[in-house]
Amino acid sequence: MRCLWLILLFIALPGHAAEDVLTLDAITQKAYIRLQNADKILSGETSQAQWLRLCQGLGQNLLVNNSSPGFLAEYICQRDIQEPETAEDVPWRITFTARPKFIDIDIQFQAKGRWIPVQTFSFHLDGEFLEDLQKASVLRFLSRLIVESLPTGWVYTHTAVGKNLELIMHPDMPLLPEELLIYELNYMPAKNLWMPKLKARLGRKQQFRNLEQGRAESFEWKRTYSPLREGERYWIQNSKGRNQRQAEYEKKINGETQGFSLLNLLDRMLFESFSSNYAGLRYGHSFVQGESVITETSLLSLLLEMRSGPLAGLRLYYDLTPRAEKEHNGLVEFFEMSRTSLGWSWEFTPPDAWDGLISRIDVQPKIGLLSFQSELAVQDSVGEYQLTAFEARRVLNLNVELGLEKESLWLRNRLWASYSSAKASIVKSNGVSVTSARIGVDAYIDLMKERNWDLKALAFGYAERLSLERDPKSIAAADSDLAIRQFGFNLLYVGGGITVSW
Amino acid sequence: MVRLLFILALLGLMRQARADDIADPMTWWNQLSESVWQQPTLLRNITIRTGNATKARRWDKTMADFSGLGFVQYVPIEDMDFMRRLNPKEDLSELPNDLLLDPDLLQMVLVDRGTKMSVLSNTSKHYKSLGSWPLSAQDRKNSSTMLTWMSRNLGYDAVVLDARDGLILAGLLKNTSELGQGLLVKQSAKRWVIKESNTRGEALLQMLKTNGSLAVFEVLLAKGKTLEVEKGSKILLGQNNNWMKIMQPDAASKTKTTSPEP
Repeated sequence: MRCLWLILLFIALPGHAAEDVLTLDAITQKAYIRLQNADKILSGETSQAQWLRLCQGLGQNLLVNNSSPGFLAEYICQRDIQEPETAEDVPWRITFTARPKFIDIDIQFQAKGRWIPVQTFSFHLDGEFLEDLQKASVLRFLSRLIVESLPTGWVYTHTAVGKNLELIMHPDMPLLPEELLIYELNYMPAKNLWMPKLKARLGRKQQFRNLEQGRAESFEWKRTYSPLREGERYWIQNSKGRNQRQAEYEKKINGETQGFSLLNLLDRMLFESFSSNYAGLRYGHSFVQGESVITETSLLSLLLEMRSGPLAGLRLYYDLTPRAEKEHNGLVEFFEMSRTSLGWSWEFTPPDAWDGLISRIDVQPKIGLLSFQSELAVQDSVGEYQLTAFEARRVLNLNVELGLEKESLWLRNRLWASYSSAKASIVKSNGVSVTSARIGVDAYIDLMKERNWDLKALAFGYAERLSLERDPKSIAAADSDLAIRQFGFNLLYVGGGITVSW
Repeated sequence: MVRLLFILALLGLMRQARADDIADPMTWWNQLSESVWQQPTLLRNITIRTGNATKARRWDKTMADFSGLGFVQYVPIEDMDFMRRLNPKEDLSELPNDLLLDPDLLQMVLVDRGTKMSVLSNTSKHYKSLGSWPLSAQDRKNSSTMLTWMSRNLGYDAVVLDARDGLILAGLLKNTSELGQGLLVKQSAKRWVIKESNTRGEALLQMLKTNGSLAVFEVLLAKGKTLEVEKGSKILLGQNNNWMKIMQPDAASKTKTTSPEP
């Protein structure tokens, strides 16, 4: 297909319209490196010193020198909230943003006063990034990860004469890519297009040798399209393109700092949604079949899920089944119920092999208060129906919930199941014990994404087997000669709602 | 005639003595300024395209060692397509295809049309058809036969890259170590193709040194009193009757060569 358009292109004899282009020389590139929300993160002298060391370490590694592929002639570490006064003249900006569960590194290019996103790395780190990233080896890997991701690549200074050339690299670094392209580079702001002008292709030769100043990697000139000037600087990049060896650098950095992992777009969204707080309102209707009053009930529910901040893990749900009435055998039955649950979630990342099915596993112990009021038509010993009340107020119950979550770009599904047993003595409050087994599914669908909050539609469904058992003593004390000792019923609600996440 | 042959023999002897002082073609090449590449008919980089992806890959394979055979380089898809690998895919989807090529890289595109090969030249970033020539199965056999096909149809063997102090640096279509004679074709700097009818000689050249696909020539005889060697001028090699084409009664004078500024 690609060839087809090429041939069509050539046959069509196109002309290249004169477009405004910027030339990126390989001599004067500058960047400033900044920390987003620095005022919050750099609260003490220690953190400020750590940031400065991290920034300077990275900056040094990104400079053009003999043993590390760099693309900068100069860098500035931003220490204040304001951008440096000279920011207008600086073509590159590298921004660290600490988010609740991951770090972003955004690399942007300034063209005609506008900052253009060029590359973003998001990574998760078990430790403290200001501390962990400033290790010399980590900074070397990180800087190489950055330069191999840029359209510029890094700077090559032409010194070679003859068939081969040697590039001196730090001995700890992975070997350079097998084939490299040397080029000049233009940028067309109107089309956001990086336009290389190829000069030559280099191919790796088998051998390399260790010198005092580093490891000399040997390359041969495979093709030279136009002459390279002695002493002049060009851009050089992996011939396969940008970002071809992320996994290799991820592994290297992971070896130096605990729990480092790069996040792709999906992972990032996953972490973002995992770290988002949710508040929502939902409504569902009973889908239970039969003649019972329960078939007429509906569910109104409020939910609050905290996934970041000091209360990360907190879950609060309030479910209300408003009073529903139904005539049954000439008697008017009614049913209403409310349940408040407070829980705490522990999240686990499943093994990589499960990635296609499950993005996250969570376990939530919950404590709940259930209030219940009903009058149901019950046959007495002579076969006549009588209204019999069953009432319980603020019955304490404990349950545990297991959730399996799967995230995609615009949808989050959660399959969950919970169980609470009447056996634990604590659940026998107010003379009533509760046994509940529930299974359900929630789906969150993106509706609107704003800078600091998202709006999602929520679809849900759950089935529950709920059994309430009254203490025999409380039955004996009851006035009625017809009492219900144990009351079990099935609930099935399906509905939808809306959530706001931030 | 005897006098002319005597002069030629004398110049040959002098050449031998001077050869050691001649700059290596590669050294000269490395010193060339960018301006040489602005010569509109300087053929350095070509590619072959076809409407079929499999055939295109086959051409890339066939031409894999083409660039080592002479001055002209073959640009495979992997290099021509580098712009696609530098830009995010989503940013490219809306762009016109002609933007997605390195506009300065290719000087000539050959389009495989089965029994014929069409040739397009790229001058000032506009592709122009130079014509179509028959291409047999033997021609498309390997990079060497393709080079022979190109040389035959383009009608020249070397192109002038630079000229100074009576010497000419040329890029050879086919590498050689044989130090033969050549004919500088008159008014050929602006031509992509040299036809038999265009091969009027301007100067007789003697190759002094070669290095791969680069050669340094010396002007043995020129037609006029002054010889301005234009960059991009074409040279014919190995034709015994070359010198006959410029043998005019008033032409037997050695002339200092100069190269006009671009």
